[in-house]
Amino acid sequence: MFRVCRSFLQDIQTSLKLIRRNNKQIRLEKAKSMSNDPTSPSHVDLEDGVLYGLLKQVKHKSLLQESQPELTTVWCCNIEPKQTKSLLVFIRSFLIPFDNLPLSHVKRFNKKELTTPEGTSTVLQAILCSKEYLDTKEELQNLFHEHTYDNNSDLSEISIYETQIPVRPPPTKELAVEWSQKYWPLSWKGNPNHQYLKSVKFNIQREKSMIGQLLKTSKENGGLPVTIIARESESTSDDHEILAIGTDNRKQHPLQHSTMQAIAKVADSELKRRNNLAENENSNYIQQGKEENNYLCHNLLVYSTHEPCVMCAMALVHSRIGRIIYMKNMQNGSLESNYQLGDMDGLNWKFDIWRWIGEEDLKILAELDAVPSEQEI
Amino acid sequence: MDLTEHFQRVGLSLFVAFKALSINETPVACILVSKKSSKVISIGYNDTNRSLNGTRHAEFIAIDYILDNVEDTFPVDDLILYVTVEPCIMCASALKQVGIQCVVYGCGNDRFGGNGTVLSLHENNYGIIPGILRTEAIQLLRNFYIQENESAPDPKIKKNKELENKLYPEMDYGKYMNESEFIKIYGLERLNSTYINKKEITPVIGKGYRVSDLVSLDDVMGMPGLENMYSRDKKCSGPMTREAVAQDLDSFYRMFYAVDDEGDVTFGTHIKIIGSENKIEFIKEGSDRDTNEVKEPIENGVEKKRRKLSNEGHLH
Repeated sequence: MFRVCRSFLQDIQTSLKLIRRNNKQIRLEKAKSMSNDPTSPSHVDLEDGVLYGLLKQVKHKSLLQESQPELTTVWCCNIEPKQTKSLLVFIRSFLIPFDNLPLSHVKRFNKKELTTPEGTSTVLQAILCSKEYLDTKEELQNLFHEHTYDNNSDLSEISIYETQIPVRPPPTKELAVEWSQKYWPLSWKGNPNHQYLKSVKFNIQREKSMIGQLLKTSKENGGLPVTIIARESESTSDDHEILAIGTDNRKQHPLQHSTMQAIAKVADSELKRRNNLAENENSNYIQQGKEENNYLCHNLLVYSTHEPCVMCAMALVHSRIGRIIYMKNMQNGSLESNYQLGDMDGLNWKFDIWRWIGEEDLKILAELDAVPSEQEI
Repeated sequence: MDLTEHFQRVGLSLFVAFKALSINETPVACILVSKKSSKVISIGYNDTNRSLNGTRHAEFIAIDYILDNVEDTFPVDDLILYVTVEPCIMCASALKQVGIQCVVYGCGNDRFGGNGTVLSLHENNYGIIPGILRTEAIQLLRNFYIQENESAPDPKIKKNKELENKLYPEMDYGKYMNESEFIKIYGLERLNSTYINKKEITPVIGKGYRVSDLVSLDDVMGMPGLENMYSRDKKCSGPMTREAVAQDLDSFYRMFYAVDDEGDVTFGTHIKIIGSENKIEFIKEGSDRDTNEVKEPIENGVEKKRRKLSNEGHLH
């Protein structure tokens, strides 16, 4: 009887092993097929970063193909496995809410086998927070002292040290493996840019209508460059709400390029709106929270006939726009042609950059265009 | 090589920046000087908070003033810009497009600098002379940002609480120019002390200075457009009279450490620390020299958050 039972159990174990192996096989194949990506919607061209055949993603090449990751310094500590829970509580309460470091591609814990003369033991290394958030070890130690009362897993005497991790998710699975070994365990969730391209949503009709508006305005102004700033309407079927149309005025002022003009118009009308509000209501204005929504050009959409120059692109960074779609690359442009300013590391703001590649529209622009290709727009 | 004139002119910009503090703008400012006449043609100061336009940096205000009041045509090949902080990428490009000749500036602009720190847009276009009154420029910015630190996310952790005697980060001139370019601008005698040993530049080699030696009441009164700042400054000095400016100058002088003959900042001596909200009034009240406490004005959360957002972007 006992023997039968044992052989039965062994059978079960063997079949479980088989099932596990099979599952692994399936997962592997799934991962493989991800690179050809049958899940990709039909309007998305992952290879070239083109949507609907009309919008081309302009992205920093170093970001797409970085083989050496940009690293950032984080604070780390070693704990015993039994301390995991209280450490997580601590991290969630006192660090995550204040730390801007995006960590979704990084595993919080790293299991390490330590071999000592007495034998091997397991230690967990854990990431606490970025060095940017707390720049000295003392600050972190003080936090631990103040907030860990649990005597069973006292964290207050924990040793804290620095380590370096990649800032961004790895672009390929191979690099994910390589960087995980070299720096810190990372999770692989598919090519991050492909994920982005599949998830980004455009109502292409209303983008077409904005391009139409650009061309129309340029035509009315003798083919001069035009920049439009708009707010995305809450309903996806409506057109974007146009807030300002800027046209090139460099004949009067060398710096009044269309983008600078549009930014100034947005600011002027917001200033007027606030003054009116202040006059009419005379109170409670700040409490309405409006002020925050209308801060500079925060997350607004920008459309431009030409690739902006360094001045204008940096003006868009300062204005914290959400996205630009522009039509014509310029020799002295500073998005795709040089610098890629809206997508540059180290500046305090980034925005999405797309170039309109609809041939019909570009043809119309080329016929209108009154601007020499080396001009700064 | 005598750099006194550069110091005096950046000193004037520094006073304008100080005035910007009192109208709740980021303390960054500049003046445009005509090479031929040696006259101050216009002044500029950060105007982003009032205008709600993140591009209204000092350089743009100064250029617009010229277009509105002085010249009709750019480029003007006769202009030198003196500015307290390295122009940002946007401004550095704008300066190129109007045909500026030379930019003399105080401290580097770590995040956005377009004249050597992040990009070098002046290369093949115009000259730069960095590091003139740079610790003083940083000191003004620290006065502005001190309240930011007070409103940090976790009030339990106060960073940079001690402004008093806080060191200034070193300036690495090698980042902005090579040795021979440095010698051409500042003189061989400064190579060892400043380029290699990171001492502060002084107007005259081997001689220290105070801001009060550099900025005179007459020179301040001679700047065009300053009265606009005074008319905006409702809470404090009132209209721009000689007396009001003299009073401001007195407070202004006391905000900075002297730099000694060796090019070392004289930490340990007493200076004034003010914030943007309680600003000049506070200095007047606390006339005894041992107050350096900064009173934090009461404001609601939204206001704080908004200011936090806005202050980040407004460095030139």
